Amino acid sequence: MKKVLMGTEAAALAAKLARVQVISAYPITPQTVIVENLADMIGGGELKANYMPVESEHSALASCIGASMTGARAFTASSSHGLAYMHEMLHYASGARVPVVMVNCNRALGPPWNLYCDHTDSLAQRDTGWIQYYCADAQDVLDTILIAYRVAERALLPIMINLDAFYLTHTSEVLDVPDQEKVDVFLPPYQPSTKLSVDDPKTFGNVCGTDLFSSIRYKRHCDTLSLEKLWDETSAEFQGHFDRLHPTVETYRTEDADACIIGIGTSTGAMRLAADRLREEGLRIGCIRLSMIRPFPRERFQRAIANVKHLIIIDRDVSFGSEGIVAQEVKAGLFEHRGDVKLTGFIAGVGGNDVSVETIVPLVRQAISGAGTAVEAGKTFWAEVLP
Amino acid sequence: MNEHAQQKRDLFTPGHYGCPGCGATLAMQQTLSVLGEDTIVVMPAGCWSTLIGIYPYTCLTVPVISVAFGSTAAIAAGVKSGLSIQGNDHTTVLAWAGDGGTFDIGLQALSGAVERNDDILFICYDNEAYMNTGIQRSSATPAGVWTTTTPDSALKAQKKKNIVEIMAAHRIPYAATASIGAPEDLKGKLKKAKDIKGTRFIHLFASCPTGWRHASELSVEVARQAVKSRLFPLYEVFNGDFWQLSPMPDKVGVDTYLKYQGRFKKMLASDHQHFQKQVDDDWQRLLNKCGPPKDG
Amino acid sequence: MQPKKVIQSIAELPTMPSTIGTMAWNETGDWRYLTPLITNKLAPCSQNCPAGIPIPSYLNALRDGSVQRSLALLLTHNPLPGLTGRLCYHPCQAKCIRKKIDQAISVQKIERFLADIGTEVKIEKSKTADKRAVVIGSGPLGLSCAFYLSSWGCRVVIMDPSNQAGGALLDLPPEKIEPQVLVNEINRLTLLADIKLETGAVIDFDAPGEPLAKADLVILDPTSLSEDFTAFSRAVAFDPFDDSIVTGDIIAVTLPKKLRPFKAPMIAHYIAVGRLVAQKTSDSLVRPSGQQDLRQPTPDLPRQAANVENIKVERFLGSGLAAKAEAKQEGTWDRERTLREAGRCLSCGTCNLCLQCISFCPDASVRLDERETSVVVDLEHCKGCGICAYECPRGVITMEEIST
Repeated sequence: MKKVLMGTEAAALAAKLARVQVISAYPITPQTVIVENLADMIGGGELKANYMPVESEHSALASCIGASMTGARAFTASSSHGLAYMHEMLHYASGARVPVVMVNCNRALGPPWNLYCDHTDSLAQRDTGWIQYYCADAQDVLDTILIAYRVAERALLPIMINLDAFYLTHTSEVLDVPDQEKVDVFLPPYQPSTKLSVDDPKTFGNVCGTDLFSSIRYKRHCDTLSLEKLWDETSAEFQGHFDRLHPTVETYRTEDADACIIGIGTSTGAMRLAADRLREEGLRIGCIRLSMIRPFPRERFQRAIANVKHLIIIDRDVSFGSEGIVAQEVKAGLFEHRGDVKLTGFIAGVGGNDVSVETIVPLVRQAISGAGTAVEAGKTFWAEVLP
Repeated sequence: MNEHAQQKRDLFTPGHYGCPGCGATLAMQQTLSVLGEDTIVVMPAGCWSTLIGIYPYTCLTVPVISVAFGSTAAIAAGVKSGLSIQGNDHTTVLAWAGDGGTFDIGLQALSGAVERNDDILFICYDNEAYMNTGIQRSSATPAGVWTTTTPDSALKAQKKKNIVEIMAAHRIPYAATASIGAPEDLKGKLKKAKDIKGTRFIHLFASCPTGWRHASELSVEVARQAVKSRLFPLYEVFNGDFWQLSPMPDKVGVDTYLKYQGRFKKMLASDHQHFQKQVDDDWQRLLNKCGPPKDG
Repeated sequence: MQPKKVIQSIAELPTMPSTIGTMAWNETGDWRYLTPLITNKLAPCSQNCPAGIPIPSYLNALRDGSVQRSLALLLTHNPLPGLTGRLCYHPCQAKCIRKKIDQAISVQKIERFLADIGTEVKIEKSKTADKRAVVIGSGPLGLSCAFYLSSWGCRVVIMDPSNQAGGALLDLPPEKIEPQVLVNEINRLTLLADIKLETGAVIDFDAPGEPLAKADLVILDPTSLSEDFTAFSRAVAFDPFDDSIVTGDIIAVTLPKKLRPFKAPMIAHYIAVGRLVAQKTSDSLVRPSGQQDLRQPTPDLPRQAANVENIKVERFLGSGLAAKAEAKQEGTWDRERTLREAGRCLSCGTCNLCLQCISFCPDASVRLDERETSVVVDLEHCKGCGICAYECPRGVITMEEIST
């Protein structure tokens, strides 16, 4: 069924289709639409779930973890400072191996306060052990939440689905909404073999000595790495039901490209338009969208850059004192594989500055010719800064 | 009585790392002996999370989740929510936190859970300091006490935070104080609390020979003296309004209680009268709030 | 030593960090430098009892309704409770700790009740050896001595030259002791211990008939026979309080000055001396085979005195008290009244399974044994904190240095 929905509305609808059982969340712009919609669905009887209007994001994720440990399907959503507040619990969730799915609306961290799109919030959490997926459009949001539950519950790892603030959270698009019955076939109820249960009492998470700790970490790392393949298999299954594919890496006109623009989130759409425009001018440009940052989709990435000579990375974030985080990931992904690729990293779009075709085209030109207005700082070139 | 002992042996097994004479372990034993096996325990960082055992072994045979320090009430509320949406309304979710995890870092999540009236039983086993990390002061440490962060040169100035008053201000259905030195009273309160729906809070006094510097065999006696001297009086609060004293032995002076414990040594030498007066004043304040004591 | 399941490969590692077993393998008993000893000790009442009767033990049995077991426990130290229950000056009651709360337990009345109803009790007897003893005289000392020798495996016959059994007790007026009561007591004693009692016996040491001729030892009872008799019989004087070994085939028991002449209120002393004589003479008369040596107190009967300071009276106040004191009553009490009175006993020095030690152990290391009749310490895990000893209100548990 076709519907016109904002990204946040799509997220709420996906949670309902996934038949989540416990929702625990704290309001923060621009996530608020999700929790409001869900509260309404529960109140109206459309969704049979417990809604916990908790007093902080730290508690929001904590309550989801508690619920998930009993075998209930749990959902939460946050953004920016809320996500930062949850930081401790992010580590806890992945260490506890609970399959919670969280929607994060990528928004800038202050001070100074800024409500708009910025990827530093979730990228700064890439070491917490959560799987991270960055959506390009509202259909992506709806579909990947469903895929995420399926993957999470099989791998026993938590998954963060990221939406750009306002570009995706508050922009309406036409979506195809799957039928509940078909979703039920794709996504059966969560039935863990190990959980908090008086019939099989165990203690979870007590102090571990040096003897076993490495092995536990190692196992988790292996399971996280193998999630790349699991995602591929599950999205192939999803494609089988719903005829849409959500790969971990997407490429556009990369086969003959001299340079490729690479990024995450909604701006990858503008990147494709920019590539087309530049091709009209004779520059052979392609695009690579990384949808998954964790686990880093090494295999698909390496296939995507097989013929690439120059990568132009646009980060909507920065790791202060180093460079853009996507740039770091790209470089790590390249390191042993290709030593000959030229790399240019830009910081653009932080704090809600648009990364539109008009922004991207000059940056590409600057990457290729060396001339342009983006200002150098360390290894990065910054757009939109004062002279 | 034999059944009681039998059950406790099953839910709480020996070999744990608690200090000899640990009041917190007694508190858990007494609690589980009433709550029984249909209980899930949520416990944060603190003495219990390390004494319980080294992974992959544990001394409790009920389900337990060992959680991050400030998250106890939130995780417990989530556990309860997860159980209830799956149709289980009978399992008791026991949030079991120390004074640090309740009065300080855990207070926000606790306040949230109580405000929502989440159906959990929250018990604070209070040994009046951050004992697990090496006896540092918490807001539950009484005034005048030695801890490693309030050494003799800078004894704790602030009085103990009154957590039950804070709970009462939320109009919590049931809040009570209890002590390992008054086990029958504790058991009665646990039985009562178990059957109430909504958030229930018990402030449970648990002596600590290591942190309080008293002989290990006196753990129960010290707790008893705390009640007798009214330093830790026993009472209940219903719906945040109705305060009721529990039966207690006749009131005595604080001397015996203080003399048992090395942590009061400096205070005893210099500020004893003032301390007794504080105890008497606080006791009078409580009396002013309370109805007559219930019969035994 | 408890087994410990160990994770040995990644495949065995649980995906969620969940436990696979308990901590029981951890022998925290290694932490200990003092060990709790749980042994029944003589209560202050028993310490003061001339016969050393384990009073709380039999009161506990009675409180639980086991009347016959209660009588059996009483009989281990006193085979004539109907007499002591009327005549004894009850020094036990003078030391009763319950006095500090309300009134001393009326031990004597309880003894009297048990004596008057107890006939079906079974006495455990050692297998009979082939030794024989004859006790001449049937006063309280002789009766007691005969009773214990017989129950410990010797074949005993009592010969009394008088026509009635009872010795010096026969001189007491009926207000002190009804003649029928005396008869019943002696009958019960001889029945339970399987002793033949001859009254009007002819005692001729020069021409002894049966059973004197076959006796391995003859014991003369000073609470029954005159001093002339004793002197005449060429018996060897035997002072049971002296540690000397029995010599001679015929011994005349000599009493300390305080017990001469016969004083009825000292009846428990005479019974105790009789038992002591039996103990002292039994080495040569009784050869315990592989059976339990019944001359030794059974494990749960106390030997060491309880320290009064370890009996924490204040712990019995308030809800710790069971029954309340009632007004005294004359004569023999009925069963209900007696059981209520027995219920007032604080059980000083004697474990009555209140289980406070179990409920106060932070390490679940004090527990009931398999038969659930006594409390034991799990030495693999006990850390020696001392709470059980401190909290036992009746002083049963003490902390000791025990080298391993």
